[in-house]
Amino acid sequence: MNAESPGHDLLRVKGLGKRFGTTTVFHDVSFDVARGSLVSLVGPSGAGKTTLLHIIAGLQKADSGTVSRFDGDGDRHPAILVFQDYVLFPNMTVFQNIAFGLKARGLSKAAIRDKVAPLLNYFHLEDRAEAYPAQLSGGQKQRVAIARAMILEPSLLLLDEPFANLDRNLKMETALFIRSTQRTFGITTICVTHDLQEALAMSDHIGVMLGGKLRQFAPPLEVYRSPVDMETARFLGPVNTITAPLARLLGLEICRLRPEALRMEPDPEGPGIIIASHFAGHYMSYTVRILDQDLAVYALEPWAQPGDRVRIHISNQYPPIFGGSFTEDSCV
Amino acid sequence: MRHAPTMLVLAFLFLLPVLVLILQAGAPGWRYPELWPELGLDGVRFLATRPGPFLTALTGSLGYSLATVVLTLSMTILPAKALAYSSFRGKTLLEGLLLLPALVPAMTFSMGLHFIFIKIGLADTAPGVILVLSMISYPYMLRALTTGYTLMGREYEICARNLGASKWRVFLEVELPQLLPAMAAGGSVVFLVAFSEYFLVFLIGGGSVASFTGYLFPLITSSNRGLGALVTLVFLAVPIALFIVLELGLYRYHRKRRMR
Repeated sequence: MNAESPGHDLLRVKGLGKRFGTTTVFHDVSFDVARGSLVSLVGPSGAGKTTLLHIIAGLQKADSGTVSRFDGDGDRHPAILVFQDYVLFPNMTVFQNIAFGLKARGLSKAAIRDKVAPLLNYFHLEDRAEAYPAQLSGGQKQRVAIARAMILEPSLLLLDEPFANLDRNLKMETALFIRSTQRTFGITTICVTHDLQEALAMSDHIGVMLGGKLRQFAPPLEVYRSPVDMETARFLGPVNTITAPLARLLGLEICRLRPEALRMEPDPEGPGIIIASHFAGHYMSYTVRILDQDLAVYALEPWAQPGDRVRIHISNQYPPIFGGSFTEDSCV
Repeated sequence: MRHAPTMLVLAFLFLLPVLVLILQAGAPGWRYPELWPELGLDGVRFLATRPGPFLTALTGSLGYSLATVVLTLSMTILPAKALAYSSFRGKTLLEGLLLLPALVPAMTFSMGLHFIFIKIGLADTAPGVILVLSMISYPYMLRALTTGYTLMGREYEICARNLGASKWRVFLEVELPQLLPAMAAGGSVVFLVAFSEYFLVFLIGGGSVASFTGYLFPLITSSNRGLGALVTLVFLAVPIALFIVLELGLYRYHRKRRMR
């Protein structure tokens, strides 16, 4: 498993493939993980993300390819997996759960207490130390699971769908907490998730897994702004295609744009007409028909109704995800 | 009180025979046309003056029944795990074969076993009795443990191993506490089968292994009906007492951990 370190990388996944029977889960997956970084692998359910994580953790075998870790001592600093449903031992208290790995390593009771106490504080669990898992909330359970892994000072922390069992309002908070914890402890982390916003917010690199392949592995902004293909682009969010007639009207080339590149303003003489609006909490999502083409446009205020006529502005602050860039804003 | 009629029928079925036994134990001579039973404590007196054989039979049966529970548990714990988590060709057939001893009458194979036990020196010994009782009762334990493992799921083991625990520690500290209800369920049935078995203990024990059923059987047909009824009541009370202790213990363990 160990090989010579190629500089600052901790993990190298090379040409990894996995089949279940005749079904290929994924093939030819390759990426490097830098020491101390946080990597998120995103993709729809069934894309093989969890299987990939299990292979990196050494819990499953790959059919092809290699996983190399450059941390020297895999026994003292293992790769620890935090499961999607936390898998806290129901017969043990929070303290006993967190201490489990240390006990297994034969540490004395005093040494275990000294190590667990600061972690209980860090994870805001000091008053829940004697509680059993069934008495904890979802967020608390997850913090116990992460603390139980962190206490072993793993060289690699693997998080399987850390947001799947959390309420919507807890997801982003948890993502930011994971990010700050990962930075505080300096632990290289790989996270598998289908919660895109959280992955984009907390990661140094994003890997997009679609159709059994790792389509793209790059920093979040690059993946979002410059996706390698349309399927990857659509997986990460809506895409507006500016076809030839509209492009001519705008004085642009044919291109594809994210909705945030578009703004609209009310104009009874405007060429666009709103055909649908959706309230999405902190923003409004509108569908605007212009020259027989539907565009997705976001707005912060719910000022327009279906049937209203609008003008469309295109900002050059958001370069097209495909197609040539433009130096000035356009308006139609 | 939607279930009142059901409860009445069940009470009639289960409590009435016990009531008859209590009457027989306390007033064995009560007959028509006497209006009220007359207390007769012959049975109690008999047991009080000669407690030796009674206690020997009781401890003997308790001993080999509990030993059977322990043996079936150790016999089936690994196969149960394999049946719960592995899939392989012929698994259903193997499961069926493993459950056969509970379906085939014990008589059909115990004769052959007796012959082998004589040859290897296990006949007329307590280990022989424990072994033969385990052979007819292990399917109940296997079934309960397989269900227990299936319900628990494999993630606990994978997680604990990933955290660095040895297989032995995983079993003792993670799996065993969660398997307790399955063990209690399987153990209760195995205990009942072993404790109430008459023929096999008689055949393999050869009279040299003291058993409660062996002590009770002649008393039921004897003239001292009071004594027969009294010993039958003890025969009934032992498993019930054991279940109450087991259930209370498990209930307290789980309630503390909110596992139920």
